[in-house]
Amino acid sequence: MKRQNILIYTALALFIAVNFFPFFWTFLSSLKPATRMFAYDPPLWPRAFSWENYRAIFTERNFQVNILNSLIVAGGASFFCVALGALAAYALARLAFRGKTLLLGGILVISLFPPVALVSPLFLFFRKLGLINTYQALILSYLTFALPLTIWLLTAFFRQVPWELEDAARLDGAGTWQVFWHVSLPLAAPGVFTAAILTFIYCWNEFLFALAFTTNDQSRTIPVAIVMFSGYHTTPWGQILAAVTVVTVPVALMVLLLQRRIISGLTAGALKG
Amino acid sequence: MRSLAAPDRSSFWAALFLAPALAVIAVVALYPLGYTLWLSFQQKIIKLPWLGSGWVGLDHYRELLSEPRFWRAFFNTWMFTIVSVALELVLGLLAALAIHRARLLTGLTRAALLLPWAIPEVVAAVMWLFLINPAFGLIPGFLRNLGFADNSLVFLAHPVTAWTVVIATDVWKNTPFMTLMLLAGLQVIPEDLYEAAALDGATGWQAFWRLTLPLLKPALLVALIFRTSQAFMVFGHIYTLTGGGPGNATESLAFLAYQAILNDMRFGYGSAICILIFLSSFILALLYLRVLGLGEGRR
Repeated sequence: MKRQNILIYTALALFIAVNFFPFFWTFLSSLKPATRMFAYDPPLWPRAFSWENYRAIFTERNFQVNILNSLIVAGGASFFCVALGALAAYALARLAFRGKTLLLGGILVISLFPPVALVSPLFLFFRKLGLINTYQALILSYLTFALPLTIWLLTAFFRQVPWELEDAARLDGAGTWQVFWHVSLPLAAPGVFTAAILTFIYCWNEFLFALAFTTNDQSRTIPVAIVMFSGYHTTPWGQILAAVTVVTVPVALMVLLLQRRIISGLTAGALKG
Repeated sequence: MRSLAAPDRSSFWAALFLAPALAVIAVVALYPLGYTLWLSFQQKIIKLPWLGSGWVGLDHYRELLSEPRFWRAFFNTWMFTIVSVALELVLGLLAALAIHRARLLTGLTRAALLLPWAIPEVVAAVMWLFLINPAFGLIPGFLRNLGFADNSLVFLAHPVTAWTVVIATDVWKNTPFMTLMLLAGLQVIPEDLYEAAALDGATGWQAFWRLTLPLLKPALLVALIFRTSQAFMVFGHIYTLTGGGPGNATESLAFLAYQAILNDMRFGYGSAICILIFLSSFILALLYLRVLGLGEGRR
């Protein structure tokens, strides 16, 4: 029994170490001066530190522009998803109408669409409308996968709001809109917040559309910008690792602070049906 | 559900509430999907406009089905999906059981599990590219020091090692997600069921097969099918790690479609690949629906 426990703890420690190690190594290596970068350098702690790579990505590469792009695109898409999604989800969770199951199923199927199947028509539309390299193109394309997901999540959250309060409001003479706006939405606020976080993360991480619908450095979002750091002949590893660190630190903080919410969102659709 | 909460004009309001979201979905997802289907019957090559455009019927599909490169990508995609998801399932289940049993689901554990999930797949891929870099990467250096490899070890230069990297890094990124989903499933299993089983003389192994696994089934299937459909569309991971190489050895269907559309600007041909991907994931999604058994009364 005791030996078994030691085995379990060791395996878990190893599992968690493997999860963290690439982040740790990326951070340490991003601080190595360029001269140490290209040597196989086994000591875990570098012999010299330098912020040069961080200076370079913000002065030579304008990485802050890519961060801003990601913030605007992911923020904009999440805003529209939550605004439209909350209305739709309320109807799906609370209002009676025919074909509801079919509609829920359809929304789920759309959220499992392969995004690549939309690349060619969207590219042709955006090109025709002159929207390549714009925020609008990315926000619109992100709605394709994020809106069904948000609706699905919010439906699960609205279902958890107790009926009694809504019934009481209705008995007091409140109409459907008033019940939604003054009772259900405030009660579902934690769920709405959770859905917003998850939608933001999915949009923040999106790669395929961001790659397909942008053609210059100024328009790229973070994931595409980082991949495009590499030129044909050289790979500026120090700068890549610095950029990875810069975008991972806020994610790590968010994950630490909001972990319960994120997990409740991840499992909402799955366990509550 | 309850009829009391369904006032007379409920379906009018439902239509009003649903209209904006459904209109957006119709415009940005359904219409383009239909357009993809139409494009797949068309000749449309933007780089070579003199080849003309127009209806070619099933030509693209016929061409695809006779191309070794397509079949390779087809095989690769299924192989990647099945191997990665199977590994993630086994490792995720082991980790979830261990964490649950050791009662180690602390803030730090949760953060460690969420972090690989929360970063972009290409960022994960870039970190691993650095770790396996043949000249100064930690992993080849470590293997050399142990005497398992020499200077000729270039992971991405051979199909087998390249696939090992692609699958191992995907497993690294997604096993924590699987673990979290399964942990959530484990937490809703009542403790007293195990006590009852122990009183009846069940061994730990029997309790696992007869109790844990059946009760974990909903969480297990959802996590499984969610990951399967995601793995089936793998693109950014392969684009960043191998670029489909060496040769075409690690191309997935989504990668092949992207190349056809945005590199070769063959919109018709690329759309045909997309339709084939769509049909496969549609089947996966239907499976998902069946498994979830979308009951309205469940809440």
